[in-house]
Formats: sequence, structure tokens, C-alpha cells
Amino acid sequence: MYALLIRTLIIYFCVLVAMRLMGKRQLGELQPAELVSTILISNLASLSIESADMPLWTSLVPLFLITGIEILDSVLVLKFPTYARLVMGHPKVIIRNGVIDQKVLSELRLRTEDLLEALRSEDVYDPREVCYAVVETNGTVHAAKYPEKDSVTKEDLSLPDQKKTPVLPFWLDGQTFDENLAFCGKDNAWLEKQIQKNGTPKAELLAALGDEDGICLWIQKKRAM
Amino acid sequence: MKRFYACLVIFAVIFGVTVWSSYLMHDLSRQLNDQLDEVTASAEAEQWGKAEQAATSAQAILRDKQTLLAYFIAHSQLSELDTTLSSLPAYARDASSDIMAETERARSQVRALSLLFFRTL
Repeated sequence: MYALLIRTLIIYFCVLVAMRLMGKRQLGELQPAELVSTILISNLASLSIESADMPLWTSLVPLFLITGIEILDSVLVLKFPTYARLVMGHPKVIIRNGVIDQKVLSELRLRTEDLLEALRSEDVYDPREVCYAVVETNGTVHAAKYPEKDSVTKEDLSLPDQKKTPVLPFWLDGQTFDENLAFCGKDNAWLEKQIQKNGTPKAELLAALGDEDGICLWIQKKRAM
Repeated sequence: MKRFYACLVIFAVIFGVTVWSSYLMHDLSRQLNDQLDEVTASAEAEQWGKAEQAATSAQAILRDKQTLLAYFIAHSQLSELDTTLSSLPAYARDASSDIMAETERARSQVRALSLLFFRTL
């Protein structure tokens, strides 16, 4: 039983390291190669946990080999566009000037219903409003509406730009976000000063959110009842 | 680019482990086959004491590397070979002709293990 516990822990951390090495792309929408490696890794991991008879290495070696191949693949995709096209395919235009390309639709083995569903998730309910829509290599559909059908922006209304930076977390659960501070033109010393000015001890501070104008939201920890 | 170097390190480690384990298995199967050949030759010459000695040392060779091999080979396969090798000294002591069949079984089990590493002897 101890062996099973240890094996599970080792496999868990190794898969975690492998996924971390493969990067954030692996956690979002997957490309075909990434999907293959994710499926294989999950199978390899469960194999070694389920069968106590199997040596750990027989799972770990292929697991890290797949991780290595996946990283190498992503490097090759970056360096060689032809290889990228071969492995990942290329985006296909599915709507042009409000007309669905039925040939592409059947090539991609997509039902009209699937396309309409994908368009709805892009906030498009009428394909005639779409000037140009593509099916990306990871299967997601992105649509660009005709300018006259698109949402109004502040620029269209000639409204003054009120804020340049969004509201970002500067402090969360005792952790300072230096990158966010730098993005808003602030630094750690400035944050310390603001915390002192606010008067709430750090231990009681849950979050501090702000933008380039300063801190706009302080959240204090609630005491346990 | 850091990931790329990590991937190179992974490949190097995997390659190292593969070559080392393959060498380990090659060395072990050579030693075991030598001892099994000795068992067969001694049994054919009806030198049962010598056959028992060779069988015991074959068993000792396997036991010596069993812990290490357990990292790469399914435990059931290793224990199968261990069981076969353990029975050999007793057959030699009893001067049983079954020792030939058992030695052949051990040899094929060693061959099966070698094949796992793409090596044949």
C-alpha cells in the first residue's frame, strides 16, 4: 500500500512537471499534436498507478519522452512554417461576405448546426452579418462582422479615453505582483507606502487592486466567525 | 528557449538511462547464458556437483541485479526467471534429467527479457 501511495505521488508530480514544461498552451485549446501527447500522458500515468507490477520507469521514460517530443515539436513549429502547416494544418475560411462556404464545411466535416453554435458563442446570430469567419487549427471559429454590424466602440463615438490601464491586482494573499505594478508605472516601495497610508496591517489585507492612477480597491480579510 | 534546453536534458537523460539499462541487461543475459551453458554441459557429462554449482551461481547473478532490474522490467517476469533458476540446483542435486528442460526454460526466459531491450543473444 505504501508503494502505491509513493508511486501515485511520484506520477502526480512527474505529470505536473511534464505539463508545466509543455507550457500553458497545453491547458487551453489543443492542437492535434498536443491532444495526442495529453491523451498518451494520461494513459501512461494511470498505467503505472494501476499496475503495481509495472516498474515506475516504464511509465516515466515514455512520459518524459513525449514531453520532450512535444517541446521539440513546438520549437520546430516556430522555426519551420512548412512543418507547422504539415503538423497543425492551417485555418480555413468558412464564411466570406456573409456566405457559408459549404465545400469547406463538408471538408471539415462540420454540420451547419455546429457552425451556427460556434458563431453564437462569438455573439453572431445571423451568418449574413459575418464578413469573414475562419475555423482555426484547434477547431475554434472566429468571426469578423461587417463594420456596420459590429458593436460600437468608444472610438466610433469619439468618447475620450478615460483609462489607459485596466484594474490589476497589486497585492493578493500576501503576494506582490511586481509585473502589474511595473505595467502601471508603480513599484514595490510605492505599494508599501500605500499600504501604510491605508492603515490596514498586511496580515489583514486580502487584496489591493489598482491602475495607473493608484489603488482603487482594498479588500480586507474577514475574520472567522 | 529554456524549455528547449529542458527538452535536450530530458532526451539526454532518457538516452543515458536507455543505453545503461540495455548494457545492464546485455551483461546479465551474457553471464546467465554462460552459467546455463555450463549447467547443460555438466549435466550432459553427468557432473552433477559442477552443474549444481553453476546453477547456484546463475541464481546468485540474477539476485545480485534483481533490485536494479526491477526498475525497468515487470516484476512478474523477473520473479518467473528467479523461480526457474531457484529450481535448478535442486534438479542437479537429484541428478534429474528434468534439469535440461528447466535450463532451456530459463534460457528462453532470459531471451524474452533481452528482447525487451531489443537485444538478442
